[in-house]
Amino acid sequence: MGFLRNWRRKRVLTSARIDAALWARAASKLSFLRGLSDEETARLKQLVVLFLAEKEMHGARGLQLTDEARVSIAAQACLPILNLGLDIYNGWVGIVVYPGEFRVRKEETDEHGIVHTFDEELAGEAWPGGPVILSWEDVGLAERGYNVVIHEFAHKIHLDGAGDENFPAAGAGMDAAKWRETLEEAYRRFCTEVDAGLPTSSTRTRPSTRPSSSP
Amino acid sequence: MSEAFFTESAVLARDWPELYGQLSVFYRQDPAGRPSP
Repeated sequence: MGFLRNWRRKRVLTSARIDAALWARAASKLSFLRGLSDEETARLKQLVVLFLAEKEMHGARGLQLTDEARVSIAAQACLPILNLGLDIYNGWVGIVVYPGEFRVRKEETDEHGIVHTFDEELAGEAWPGGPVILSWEDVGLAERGYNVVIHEFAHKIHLDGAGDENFPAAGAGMDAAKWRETLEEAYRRFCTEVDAGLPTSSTRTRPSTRPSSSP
Repeated sequence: MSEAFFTESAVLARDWPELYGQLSVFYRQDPAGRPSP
């Protein structure tokens, strides 16, 4: 399977590349890509080509996705895996993009075993082993500290990796205890700052509140 | 947190150095060390 996949990827890369002008247009709106070295940018572009070949991106509710939109979403999805490899995203293919926030029905079981059903407006959602769902309006808000694409793909890395529901598994060669301790401590501090009404310096989110638990 | 790591790396590295360090090992990237845009 791995052999076949690698062969297919090599074949894709020999026959496909991103139009330079298209890349320039998409990248010009993603300021955080500007610091990448030429070598890193070249590798990111290769990942984007493979990502677009292997994943299926669909607009929902009549949204027409332009090539620039596809490249932009793919570039942001691939930045976190630049040095981890595309295989992290194996096992699912779908990316659904709604024009704006989308409503989902959630169920939660309380401590008495009663199941509560409620509707929630989301800017993005990632299903374990399944699709990533994005609001295009929120993708367009990509700015420092608020980036729904990177946020949801970080969820994918977390949900589809080892690790439990609350904590992504530490990477190879990492000190697992330190990793978990640092995430827990950061989460505690973040909650304290939010509860105290302090502007959390590095974790601004869109004014509308939404659940956020991935690293 | 990951979006801050990639899009606001300098602030995260300054205000949350431990977290930045761990995310840097996790993702094998050092975005705050890149030339600023």
